[in-house]
Amino acid sequence: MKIRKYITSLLNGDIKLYDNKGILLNKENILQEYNKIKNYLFDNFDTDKMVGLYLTKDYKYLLILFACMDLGLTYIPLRTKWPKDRIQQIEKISGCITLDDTIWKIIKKYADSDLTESFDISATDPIYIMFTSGTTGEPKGVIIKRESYENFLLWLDSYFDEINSNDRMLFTTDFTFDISLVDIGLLLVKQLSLYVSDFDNDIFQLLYELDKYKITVHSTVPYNYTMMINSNMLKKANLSSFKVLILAGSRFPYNIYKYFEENLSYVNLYNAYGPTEGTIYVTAHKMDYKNDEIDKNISIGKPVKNCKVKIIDDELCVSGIQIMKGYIRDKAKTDEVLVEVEGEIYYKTGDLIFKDENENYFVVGRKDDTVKVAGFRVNLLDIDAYIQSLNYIKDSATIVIENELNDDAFLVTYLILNELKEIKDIRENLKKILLNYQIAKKIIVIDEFPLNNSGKVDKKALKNSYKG
Amino acid sequence: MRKDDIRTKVQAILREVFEKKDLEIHNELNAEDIEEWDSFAHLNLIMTLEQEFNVNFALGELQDMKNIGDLLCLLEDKLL
Repeated sequence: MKIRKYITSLLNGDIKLYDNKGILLNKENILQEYNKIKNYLFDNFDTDKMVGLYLTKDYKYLLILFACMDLGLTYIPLRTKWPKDRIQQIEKISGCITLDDTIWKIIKKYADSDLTESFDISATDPIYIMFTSGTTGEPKGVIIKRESYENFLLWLDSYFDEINSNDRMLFTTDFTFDISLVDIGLLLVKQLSLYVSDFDNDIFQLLYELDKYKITVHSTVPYNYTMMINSNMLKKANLSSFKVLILAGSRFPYNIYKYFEENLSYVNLYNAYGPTEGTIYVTAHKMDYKNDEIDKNISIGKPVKNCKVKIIDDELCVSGIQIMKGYIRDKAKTDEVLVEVEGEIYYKTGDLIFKDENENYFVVGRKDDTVKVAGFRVNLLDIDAYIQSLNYIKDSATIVIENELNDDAFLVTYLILNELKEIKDIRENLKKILLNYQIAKKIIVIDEFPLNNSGKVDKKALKNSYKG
Repeated sequence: MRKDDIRTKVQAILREVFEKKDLEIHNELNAEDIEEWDSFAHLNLIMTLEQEFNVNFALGELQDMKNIGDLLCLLEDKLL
């Protein structure tokens, strides 16, 4: 089904949208507001002008985003917390026109009549451009086509067949992170109740909302659940209505898997995987607690509908309808990651993987995480997986520090501990589980890791803060 | 344990968690008064309090807790 049809059906049907205070919004008012937004956009934009959304996260953000999709305008999600120069950089690269919160006053004056016109567009036109931080600090704009997201919607609808219009979903993810399009997508295809969360990285707020709204479906990054489980807080919330948890965005931690197996086995737990360049998810896996793990590594499952996966030199490469058009105005970077193999375009994910006998895929590390230290090839994620098997270690992040002067490199491991331990004792323990060259030259205990926008450990920040 | 003991122990825990050796607690003290008191520190604080006093806070109790005065009342209810 085309995205326009989904949106029309939702807004003219039984939309159950809750604001960040948990109040159900009136259907007629939503439709009125929506029509005003559409009239405003139609009068002021055209398909060659992209819409930058620099707005506070609430239900109105969602409405303006729907209006862009509906009319055929490309939107670029931006975050009010981002520094001004990042916004300016994005405006410069994309040429977008940015709307901030002052726009609501203007939109208010527009007619609330139903607009039947829309722009002329094709399936391969961009629906959104998602900016991710590039390695050089320059933001990279990933262009996603309409047909890619439409394919994703079809898959969402069929894959999660246990989700229906009676479900209640908590919408915690920021619009600038593409897994927000899972929440948006489930609202469109299942017409479930969507609670726009006041979360803002506050674990307590998340717990209250899961409990208070009797949430049945949640999609987020693993980090939030790691925090709630490790601090013993998750058990405080009444989760008897909980039905589906979808985690994606970083490696699936073994402790979450174990916790759900032992305490919440009635919840359907999913590990989904995908780069922004592959339109949200390209593989997914539902836990059955039997064949999901190999050496504490949780499977990312099998490819989604109309996505093909190939392993080239241990690297996961994906092709199919969900692959991005390219990076906006950056042909060099696009050509680096999109390659033609046997007449098909593949996106090189940079993730190293293997496949088990049941055709399930497992990520073992990043290509960038494989480094050479003292002549040995070491994988940083492997090292961390071993370190984390020690029960007094809460979390770890190993980085490599290059010494450009003598072309040498050494490892630094940052640790968060569950209990006080001397570094020399930790070192002794590590000798039992790691090879000599895998043990970091420096071991540093810290209270918390810096996180990037997607909630992952910001290894770049750790690297920059390392003083030797 | 007496009221005063609870207060002294809470003060010691706050000093430890926020790494402020001279911190003096009072009933109105709340997260706005201490820069380091973000949601992560709050999680850490609750965890430490539960361990040190061997108590368990319910979600509703945590939600109603607005300042140190509320926290002390809650602990007194549970311990005295």
